[in-house]
Amino acid sequence: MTDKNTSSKYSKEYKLSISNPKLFDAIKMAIAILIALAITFVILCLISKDPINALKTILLGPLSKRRYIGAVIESFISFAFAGLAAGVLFKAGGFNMGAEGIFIITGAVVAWIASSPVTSSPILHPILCYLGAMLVGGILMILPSFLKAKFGTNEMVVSLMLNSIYAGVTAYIVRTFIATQQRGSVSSKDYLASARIGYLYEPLRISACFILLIIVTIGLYLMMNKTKLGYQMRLAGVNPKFAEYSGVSAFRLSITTAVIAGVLCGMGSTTQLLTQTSYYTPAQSLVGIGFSGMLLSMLGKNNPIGIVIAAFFIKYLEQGAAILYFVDNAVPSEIVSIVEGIIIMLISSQYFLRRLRERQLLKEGLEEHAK
Amino acid sequence: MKKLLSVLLAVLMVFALFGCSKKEETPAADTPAETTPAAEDDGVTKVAVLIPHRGDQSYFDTIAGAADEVNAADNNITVDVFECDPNGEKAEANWMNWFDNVCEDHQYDLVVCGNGDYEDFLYKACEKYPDQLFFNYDYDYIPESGIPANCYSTKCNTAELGYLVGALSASITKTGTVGVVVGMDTQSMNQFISGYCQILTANDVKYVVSYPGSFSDTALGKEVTDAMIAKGADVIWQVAGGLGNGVIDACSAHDDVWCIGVDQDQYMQFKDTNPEWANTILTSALKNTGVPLKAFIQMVADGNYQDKLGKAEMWGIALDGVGLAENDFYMANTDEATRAKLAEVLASVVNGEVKVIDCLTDWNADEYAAQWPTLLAGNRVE
Amino acid sequence: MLSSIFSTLFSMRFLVTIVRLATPIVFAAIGTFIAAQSGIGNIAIESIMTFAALASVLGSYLSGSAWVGVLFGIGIGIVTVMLIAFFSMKMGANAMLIMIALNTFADAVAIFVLYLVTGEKGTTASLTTPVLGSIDIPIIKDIPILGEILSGQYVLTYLCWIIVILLFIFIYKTPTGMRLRACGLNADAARTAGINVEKMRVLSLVLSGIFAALGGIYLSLNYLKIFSRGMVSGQGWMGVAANGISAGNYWILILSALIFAIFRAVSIIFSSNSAIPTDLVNAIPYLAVFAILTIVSIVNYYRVKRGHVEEQ
Repeated sequence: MTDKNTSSKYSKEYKLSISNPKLFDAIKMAIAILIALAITFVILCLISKDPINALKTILLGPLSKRRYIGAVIESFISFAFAGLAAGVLFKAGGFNMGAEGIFIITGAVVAWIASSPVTSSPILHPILCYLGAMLVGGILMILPSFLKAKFGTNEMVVSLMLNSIYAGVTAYIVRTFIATQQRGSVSSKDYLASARIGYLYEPLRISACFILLIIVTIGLYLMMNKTKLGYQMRLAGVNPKFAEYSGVSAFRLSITTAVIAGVLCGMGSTTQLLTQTSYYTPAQSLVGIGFSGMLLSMLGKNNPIGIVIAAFFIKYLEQGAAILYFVDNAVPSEIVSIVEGIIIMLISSQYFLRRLRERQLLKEGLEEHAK
Repeated sequence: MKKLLSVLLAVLMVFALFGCSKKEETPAADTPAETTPAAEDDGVTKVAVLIPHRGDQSYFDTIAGAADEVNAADNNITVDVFECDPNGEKAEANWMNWFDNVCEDHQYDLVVCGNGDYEDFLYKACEKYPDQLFFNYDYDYIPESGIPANCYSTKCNTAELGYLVGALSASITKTGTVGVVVGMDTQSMNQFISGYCQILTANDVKYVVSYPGSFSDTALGKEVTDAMIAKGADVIWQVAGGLGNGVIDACSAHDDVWCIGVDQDQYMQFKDTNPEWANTILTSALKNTGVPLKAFIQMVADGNYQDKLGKAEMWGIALDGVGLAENDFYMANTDEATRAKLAEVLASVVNGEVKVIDCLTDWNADEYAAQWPTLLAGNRVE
Repeated sequence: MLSSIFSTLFSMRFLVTIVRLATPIVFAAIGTFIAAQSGIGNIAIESIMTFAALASVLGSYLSGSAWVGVLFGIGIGIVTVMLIAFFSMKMGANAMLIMIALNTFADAVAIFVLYLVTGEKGTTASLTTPVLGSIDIPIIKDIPILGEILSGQYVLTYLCWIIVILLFIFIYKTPTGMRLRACGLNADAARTAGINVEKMRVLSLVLSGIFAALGGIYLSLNYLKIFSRGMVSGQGWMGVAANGISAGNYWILILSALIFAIFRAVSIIFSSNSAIPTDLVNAIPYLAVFAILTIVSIVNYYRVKRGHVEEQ
């Protein structure tokens, strides 16, 4: 009955109060990051003689030279793709952890196409690599999700097993069909010059892949939030039974999700290989990207834009730590892994600061009641 | 709510303070240097060594160890060792960044890198910084355009090393069967055993070759070795990095089986902390990667390195690039006859009487595919 | 060549090897199983094994006694598991993802700690650490064929099999075990029946942590004498996979773990053989799990379908 309805969602007070979930989430994330940085600071005090400068280097170091930021830009793209792939899968409620294996085996496809003289056009050659990787990735990613959707097989274990199987198969393929004998580890032949991807803007190392990532991210965001398919995916992720009763075909959804994720993995592996390497070493070049993508999707809360930002943030921190290590040899580079781990643990905690929020909600409720 | 916001603000302000201090200056973008390399400005020769990581206790640790030794010695030379790639990702962005770190401001007279996996980055850096001096401590191949004019590449001749180990094994085996555990089946790793297979086949000694496919699965190393011992092998050489620890463990469980270590003097490594293991390691096959490294650093410090530039050289037995560890334990457990025979073999290699087959540098990819299986099969027991 | 493979396969040594290789996998399997039974699931086995392997060696080094090292290892297992419990149950994080995070960072954290304590980054070979040995059982060891397998095994191998039997009794024959399984089958019903589901889940997690830790301790303190970077090598995941195949059946779980050990042993034989490429050989155990898992679920699917059809 009052005209100053403080509990209205549009009032200024609400927008700034803790009961606004979006703001609360943002504050939660900020505090989690601050706590993680505080813990890092404590660790730095133990191992470095100048912890304050050390922390400053980690946070601001990459801004000091253009090539540092360039390195971050260059290296976060495939990482972001892995995160997007995992994000799509997890958002739809699946547990297919096959991204790692898909990255590795699509790498073999990329290496094969890149080292074969299929075309001499520097535009067509990389595109063919991308298409090949996306095709193979999309198809192979379906397997665990298909088995789960049709027969109820445990897709997590199946996808993990496939990771190891693909690793062995990839090593065999590379060694038998496209091997170069000259290097210590099993490696493919060098890519032809037409396959490698160059920079559009050299000083900051921005390549066409960066543009690709932006476009794909926006596309995914639109798909997730504005299309029927995206809505169905999110519904299935939150409440699979309800989704099914509403007429969503769980089977078709699983397959579609898997295909999208597989295609994204293909994009990621191609980007990594064609920008960061001149030949493919199955045991090293793409190992770990798939798995760290899963962690990334956690940080970005399965939201495409959040994931890409998180990817940039993580790579930025890694670069900062590397600079610190160059300047102060005593701080080992493992410290960044620890920071990442702490951030992940804290951010993924839903009940973080719960009591604070509950108290605030209660207070507002009481005020409302008192009127 | 207000309290929370004020706390947040306070913390942010503190962090902002950090940012207020002077930032490092951005240097001019990537212009090539005008200054000439080497020649001590202040009498101190500065060297940077780029390795992916320490801690493998064999290959990279040998480099790092040699670097640390030179650094610690009283000789006006400082050596900084940087671990550039702890996760082994081999990403170009990362490695080129590191080369930029050490080359950009010309703080170092010499930049050292190497190993087949990272050679490409090294050669790219050679191109980018033509006035910087580089050293490659372990090349796998020579690029088509040759070794860059500002670089010197060396490789320790592991084929000759394997030849020596084979000679030793042939002399001391009592069962007529010996064995070798090789981490991975690649042309570069097989260089270790091409001389080995050659001499054992020539002397009609049987050998078992096992490729576990890993450099870290120690349990697998142990089991693989046990299987070899069951086939009768009584002298077992490990060329498998961390997995080799499992090999040593398996050998130590049998009194009549000798183990031969690799890369470092593994007897000395375990003598005090793990005598059980040490007592089974007759000797170690030393790939003295530190020897050419130290030699070249000294050349740079003395200023007479010019005739090495643009060259790729093999450092074999003659140059002390490879050899067997002849510590007290080895002396005590081998007899005069064996050592004399070994000296003979050594001499025959050094004076060129014997040509040791080197599957990595003698053969290109096709020749390797054609000829290696025959060499491997020689007197192999499966 | 084939004949030599056969003669090795059917030798006594092979069976002994299998028992030795099976120990860490069986520990990992029962660790995963007990947590799964209470509904919470623990896939961080690989990371717990890594941490325990390192902690036990360091503990043994610092205290001068191998058994104290074992306690250190078990302690770390419990700490890790409580960390998971805290974040997932008290803070509402998705347990699965916490565990993935742990698995991903386990190696980096272990190397960091190793570096802090020893200054090295590869192995603990530079430390003198007392270790556990093997046991020769006096009369049994003289039994002609079985003697070789039953006697002379490592201490922790015997402990493993004792635990396997005790665990079976605990889960299926005691009231607490029954309550634990109830939490996994239907948590709400269990709560209504008065069972403290949270407490049961924490209990199962603690047991899970202890078993996984023992698997890691076996590797570094009993089987080999050092901690070495990357030494767990996927054996924790084999335990997780064994649980996936078992579909809740305890003895199939143990059988699956043994099958994994057999495949590992087979890949050892093939490693010194030129017939089969090493890369594919290493993929065999995983291929086996994949095939078995798929076949089992397909068979189940048709069995249930046929069951429904028959009902009508």
